[in-house]
Amino acid sequence: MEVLFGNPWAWNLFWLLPLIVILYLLRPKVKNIRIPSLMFIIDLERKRRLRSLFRKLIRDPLLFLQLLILALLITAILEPFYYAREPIDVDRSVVIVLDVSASMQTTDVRPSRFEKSRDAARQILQTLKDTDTVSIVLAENIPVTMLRGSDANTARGILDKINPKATSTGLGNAIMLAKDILAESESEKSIYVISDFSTQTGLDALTAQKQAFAAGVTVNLVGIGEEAQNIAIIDASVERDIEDKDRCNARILVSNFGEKKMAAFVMTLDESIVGSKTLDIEANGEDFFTLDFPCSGSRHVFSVKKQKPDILDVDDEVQLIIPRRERHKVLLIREDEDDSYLSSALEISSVVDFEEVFAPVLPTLDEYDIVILQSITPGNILSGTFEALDDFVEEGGKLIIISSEYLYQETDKLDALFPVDVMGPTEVSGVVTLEREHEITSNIDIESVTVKKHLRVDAKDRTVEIASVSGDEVLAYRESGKGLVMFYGLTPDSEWSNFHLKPSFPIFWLKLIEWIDKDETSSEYLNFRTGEQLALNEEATVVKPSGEAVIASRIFFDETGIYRVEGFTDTFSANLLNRRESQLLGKPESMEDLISEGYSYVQDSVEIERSLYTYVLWAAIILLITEWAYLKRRGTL
Amino acid sequence: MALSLDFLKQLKKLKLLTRRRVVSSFAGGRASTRLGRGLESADKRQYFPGDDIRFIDWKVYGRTERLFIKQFEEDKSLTTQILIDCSNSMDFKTVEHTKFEYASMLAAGFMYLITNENEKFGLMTYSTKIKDILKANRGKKQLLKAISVINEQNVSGKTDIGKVANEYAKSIKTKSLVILISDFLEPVENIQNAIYRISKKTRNFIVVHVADPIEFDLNYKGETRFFDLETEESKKVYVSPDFQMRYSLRFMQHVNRIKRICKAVNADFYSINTKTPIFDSIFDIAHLQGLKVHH
Repeated sequence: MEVLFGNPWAWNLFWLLPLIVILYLLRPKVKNIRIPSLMFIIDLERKRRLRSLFRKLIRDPLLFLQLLILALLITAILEPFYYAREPIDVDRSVVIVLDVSASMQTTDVRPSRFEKSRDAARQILQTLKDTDTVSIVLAENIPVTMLRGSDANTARGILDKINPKATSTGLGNAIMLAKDILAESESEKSIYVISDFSTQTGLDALTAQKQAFAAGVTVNLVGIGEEAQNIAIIDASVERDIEDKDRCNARILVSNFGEKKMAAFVMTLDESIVGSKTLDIEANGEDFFTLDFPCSGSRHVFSVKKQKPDILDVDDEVQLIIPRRERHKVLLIREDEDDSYLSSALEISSVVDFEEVFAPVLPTLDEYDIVILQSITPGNILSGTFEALDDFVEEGGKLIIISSEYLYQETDKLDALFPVDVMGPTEVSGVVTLEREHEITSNIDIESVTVKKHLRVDAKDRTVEIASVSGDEVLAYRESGKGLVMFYGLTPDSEWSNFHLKPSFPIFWLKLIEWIDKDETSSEYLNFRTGEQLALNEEATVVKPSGEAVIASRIFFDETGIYRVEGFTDTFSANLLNRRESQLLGKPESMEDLISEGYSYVQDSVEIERSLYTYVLWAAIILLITEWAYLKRRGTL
Repeated sequence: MALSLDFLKQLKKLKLLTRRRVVSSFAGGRASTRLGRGLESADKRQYFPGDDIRFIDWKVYGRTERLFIKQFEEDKSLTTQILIDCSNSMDFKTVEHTKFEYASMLAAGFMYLITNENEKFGLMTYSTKIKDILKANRGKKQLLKAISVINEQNVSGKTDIGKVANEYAKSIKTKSLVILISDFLEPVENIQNAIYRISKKTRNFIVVHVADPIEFDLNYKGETRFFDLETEESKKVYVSPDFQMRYSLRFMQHVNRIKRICKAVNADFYSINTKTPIFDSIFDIAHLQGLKVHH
């Protein structure tokens, strides 16, 4: 602390100090008296020896006192002061961004990373005044505002009720949301991000921090936990066997984020064990296993569980719903002359209720899920057929149109439905080229198909191209109304291509039928990953895996397990299956310097001039009183 | 000169009348009621073996051929021994007389009264040891001798009353009235020893303490360095009213201790401030000793 002086000229007054000494020296000399009774004086002085100790140290206390008093008075005139840093008493607006992602359930720190975060948040709340406002944002994959512009007490109550979720982290988005919450505040704005910073999705936290800083918001990053080892199920799927619908196939991918380790898994179907598997996974490696097991046509819950728990439980178990077996009603409209390869392929399928009619005919289409138009010969199409097909697709029907010689002649009638513009047949031979990976072509050797003849087509807008031959789409679809229209260009006719002769042909068609008629009861619509959402047709009561019931028009899957919706027979499952959340990486190097281990709040302070005048003056007054008391006691006054 | 001519002239005005027999300390010239060894025989009795043959009245034996023993009226003539402290501390005054002068005048007064009674008195001066001794005698010649001894006294040296008391006790043969005049500025233990020792050799013991008024109240102010008259030791003190008060208490404590010692040996104690007119002090002491004194 540096002491400065307002009146430096007063230093000259210190020359008065020697004056006092001179005056003191000018005082009458000590009288020398001869007396006979000195023995009594010596006796008295001996008794006062202890009391005189101070006097012995300072030969003349009066001189000392007077010098001190004068020095203090001069110092007072000097107006001494110093600069002190004083905290600025400003109102604060604070947003606590709490990472509630799956990795926060890790128990590498006790009781868990999330509980540590909660403690840190409580500490932050303790620093707040009554006039400060506080908001809480949960950093899930989509940030959630839990509290907005409230006080610390309310925040404490909310904080106690928050539980970690099983979603991924979106710190950047959460910081941006927090920044927006603070936008209108005129107080000192700060965001506290409490996270393990292990993985993030969405906007980068550093970028968000910079943007918040630019908006006058301080972002404090509070780090919880370090890099840790973990074994996790990072992908799992189960589906009915494409050929034997009473069997199911499960595929489980396991990742080891750590040293080489064994991991044992048990698989159950509706809580009955259907298999087990032990994997010896290399350090930082992955391994997978499959399981083929019998499953009836009804709905099942298939579960895989790691036997030995580790520091993160949420990724050690997967629950998947196997939907009940659905049958697809398929109508094939063809002509007599057409090859019957397609009919045969559809007929053998156990999941297809197949019917075929021969043109010219106009059947009632409403009863069918899928209508396949194998060939169109001019004159064989009854009037109103295309209108009926149009309505069918508009209402959600699926239409598959197979290329044929004269199809282009009817394109004007099909225009609205057709995903491609047809220009006419060409006999340029070639092989099929896959334009994209697609469910219907997976495990199908479609690229070995040779084509002798095909239609020259151009894909329309919004058309999804799957496969082509010489630049002309042979597999393409477009959604139309509530339904979908697919163009199939590999005509099952030896003059056109050889696909229908391949063993994979019926499998392809089953896949196509299953895919094209996928509805909300299919596996894809029942099994979710945490962080995903499902919109409901109307508001309903959703019972989450934890038992919590919420009334909502959409399900936000933020817990792992089975979700139930009242009034809806099917249940939904949600699993983490998130490599990034399970990896438990430490703090990223780029943020290491920015993240503090614990919570600390340094209140802004300002330098204030603090005068010492009063203190010095009081000291002088006290010494004056002391001198007076001393003189009084000595009897001089 | 401790005893001025003026003072000696004033002494002549003193008259001393006995109030009653025996009791007086300065008593003399009066017949005792008790028989014993005396200067004048009161009667005779028959000799019995064992009687001191020195007291056989041979004149009666000549006339009667019978042995008679002279019986004497006890000699009431009592010798007074006056002891005066003439150490350096006595040579101090802040008023008209030094303590030694005052003590001398007191002694002279007593000697005058004794002489008037035609009694014997002796004189001794001392400091660390006995300085002068005037053997006990009576008469004006003795008084003049005593005055001369006092006036020639060199007041100097330290005091050691204990040692002096030892010497004195050895030299004294008969029990006398002893008057001890001193400022008693010594450790109280010394004073106690001396008073005890002397009291054994006395029939009556009068202890007179003389002190200068400044010794009573230390009436100085401010920063003062005090030097001791005898030892040259010094002490610098600030004399405040508080200090004065404590000094007075300490001084009175010393005086009171001497007073208690005197009481214990049945000695009469007088503490006299030298600012008190000398004749007042003489009268007071004589009066309290059972004498009627007229000025």
